[in-house]
Amino acid sequence: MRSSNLRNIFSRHGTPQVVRNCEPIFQRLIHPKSRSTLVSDILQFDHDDNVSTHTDDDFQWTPPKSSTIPDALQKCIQATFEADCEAVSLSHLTVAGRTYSTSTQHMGNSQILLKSGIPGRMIPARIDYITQVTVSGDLVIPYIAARKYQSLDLANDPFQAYPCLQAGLWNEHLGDLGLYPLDAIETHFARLPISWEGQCMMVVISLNRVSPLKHVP
Amino acid sequence: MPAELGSAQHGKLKADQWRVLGTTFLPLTLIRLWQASDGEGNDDRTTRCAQILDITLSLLSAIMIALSHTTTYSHADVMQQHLLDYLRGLKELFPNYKFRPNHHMALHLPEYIKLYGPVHSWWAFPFERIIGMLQHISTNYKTGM
Repeated sequence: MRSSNLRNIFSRHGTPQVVRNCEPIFQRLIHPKSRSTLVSDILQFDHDDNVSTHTDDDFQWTPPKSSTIPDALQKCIQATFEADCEAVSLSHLTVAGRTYSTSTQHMGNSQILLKSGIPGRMIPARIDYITQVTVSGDLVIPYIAARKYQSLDLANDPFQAYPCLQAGLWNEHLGDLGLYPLDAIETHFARLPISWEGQCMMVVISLNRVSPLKHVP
Repeated sequence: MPAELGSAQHGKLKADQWRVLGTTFLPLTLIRLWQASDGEGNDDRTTRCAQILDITLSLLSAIMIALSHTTTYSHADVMQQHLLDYLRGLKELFPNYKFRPNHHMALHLPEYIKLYGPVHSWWAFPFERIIGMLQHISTNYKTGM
């Protein structure tokens, strides 16, 4: 396989995540200075002292500055921003010690609770994309593109009786993709698929490290 | 969490594993198993399970409030209430159960939360960790050598 084909694998949309995770290895493979080929042999003699100072340890892979924006994310960005803007797609982002990832990168880190605007009520969602949008020339703002889980029309949610748990039953189906700022994220959540009253659903439990102040006597 | 939890192979759980088990795995499982949905399970066992579930969740609620990274006087008061609910429920459901000193000690925790703030700033786990590290250092049992 030609090295240009290998390079193109990572700029192409649809490349499996498992292959993307190996990008540094591929970069090392196709980098002319780290290959054991005639080119690298010649390059080793391009100094006056005829000794190359380059070692494998010196090699550092620099992530590409551009990436392909998936169509769904592109539509989302276009719907949010009227003017043309520059966007970069990321696989993960760490904010205040918490790592948020896309669902293809790490399913657990992609499960988030979004603020609903109603105090004490949060909506579970799954991060599909993370992007950095450059607006007004030099202002870079990170956004997440997430799909909210649909709510259940359930009369007796057994988890609502214990508000300290911050748990509840939700539908496993996802809604449409939406773009949200980072401050819309409350925390991560854990989920457990269960069957309740004959229906398949999931329990969502908040992993928030701050307890809400509720008590049911 | 150990995959083989419940068997003798996994050994004892560490304190943080107990925390994760108690605040995440246990409540979800117990509510799913013991909380009867409408129109089913009116027998004695179901009622008993629901009562045990209630007092267990009172204890877990107290733990969740105690482990909050931010706290207030109201948090401490609500925690105290949950602890009392748990202990009273325990006494009612298991009259022959003998309480331990730790049950009494736990009732003083809200007082310390009010005085010193979130437990992470004053609990003894950092010291326990250092003790564990020291215990794993090989010695010849001769001081200074």
